[in-house]
Amino acid sequence: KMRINLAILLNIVKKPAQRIYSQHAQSDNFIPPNLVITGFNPILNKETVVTEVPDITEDVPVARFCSEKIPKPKVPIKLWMDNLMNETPQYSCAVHLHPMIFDTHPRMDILHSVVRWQQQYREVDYSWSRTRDEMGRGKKKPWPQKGTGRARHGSTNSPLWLKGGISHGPRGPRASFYELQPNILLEGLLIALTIKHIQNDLIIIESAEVPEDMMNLDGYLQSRNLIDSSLLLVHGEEENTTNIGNLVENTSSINLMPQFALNVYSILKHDKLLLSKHILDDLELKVMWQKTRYPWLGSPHNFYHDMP
Amino acid sequence: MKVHKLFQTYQVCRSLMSRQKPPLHQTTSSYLPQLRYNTTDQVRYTVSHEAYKHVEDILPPSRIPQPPKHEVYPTPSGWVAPADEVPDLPYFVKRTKYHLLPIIEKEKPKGQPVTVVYYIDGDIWALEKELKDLIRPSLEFDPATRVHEVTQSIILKGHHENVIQEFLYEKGF
Repeated sequence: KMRINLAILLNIVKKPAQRIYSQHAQSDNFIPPNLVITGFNPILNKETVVTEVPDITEDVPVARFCSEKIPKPKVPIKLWMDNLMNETPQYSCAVHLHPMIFDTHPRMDILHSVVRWQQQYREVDYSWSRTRDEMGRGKKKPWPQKGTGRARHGSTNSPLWLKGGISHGPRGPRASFYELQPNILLEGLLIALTIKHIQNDLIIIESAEVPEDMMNLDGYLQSRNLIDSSLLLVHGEEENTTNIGNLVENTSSINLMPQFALNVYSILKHDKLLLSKHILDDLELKVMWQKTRYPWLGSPHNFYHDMP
Repeated sequence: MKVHKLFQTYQVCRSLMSRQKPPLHQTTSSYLPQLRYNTTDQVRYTVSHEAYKHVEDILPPSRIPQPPKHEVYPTPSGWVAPADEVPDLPYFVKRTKYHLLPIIEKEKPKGQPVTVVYYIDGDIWALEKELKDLIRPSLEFDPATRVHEVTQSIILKGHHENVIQEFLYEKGF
């Protein structure tokens, strides 16, 4: 029964579509049926909200200070703290960031090596070609050695022949996995964070938790001119992200990520980086521990009293 | 030649086959200490979690500690702490994670002596000019240097670690 119904339906749908197309093609002002025409061009007639960001003075309360020691010539970076619940930005609270993480020397070569590693290490080349031994034919000598006037050949599988075997071709699954030094990986991450900060694409939010009755983030995005840009929201491991996860699930421009998944490729892929305030302490501790640890820590033993 | 080699291998095999193997217990006892366990003996020990703090006191830290404040500099080892105030100069030289000045004396593959100064922030060309003036009296020719802005380092021809170290200590780095 189902088959018959479907067949009828398809017939009904097909016939008028052909007729309509032919009618339009004949008329003078032809508009194809799959063309979508909007009221305004979103790129040309973009509505931007112009807001003046005030300077961070010493009177502004600070929500979070740096816990690790800061080397001499550098000073902590001050940034306004944002909140997902506030539709309009309220410049009421600031955050201190560690300069060793968000103000490093931007080495593009290191950044490129890390990005290349992230793209390559997981790929496997499956291309494979048959050699002359694997052709499964051509054991016979095609013609006698002498007397025919033709070139001498012992087999039709030779790589000189058409449809012969391939010499030095790709062989089997070949993994392009390799390891980078952990110090370089860390440096690449810091450079990526620095670039986001320098280009004014770094936003610190109070927490990734939103109330359950919140329907969408359009108000937040529109007032900050973020409606067209892609966002990467990094939250702490202890935060409850069910509500924001439901909000973000059907949007194509916002992605969620826990702190341990923070990586260079995703940071560069997204336009803006939203960091939850709760990850900053842990990030700072891990980075500075790696920078000031003894290099021989792993071997021959790891009995240290403050091992994280 | 082939026959000669064959004969040699034959002789080696023959000598190996004819050798008498020593019994197993003799081979182990000759170079390994023999452990004897009596399963009937009970192992006597006590468990105390409180006494573990004495172990923790001995354990080393995993991070490189900050150096203590000395009364007089340089210390007997020749180390000088960086100045309390940041020197008012166009450039800045950071310390390494071992609290030492970032200067290396090394040789290029063909034996060319070279000194490298790295971790330089700010105007690297100003420091290069001062280092050139510093080295010039001890050389016959004009000092050869190379400035790498991307890696924030200066490479100088010849071994000048001590001179540069004194110079940077005086500046307060």
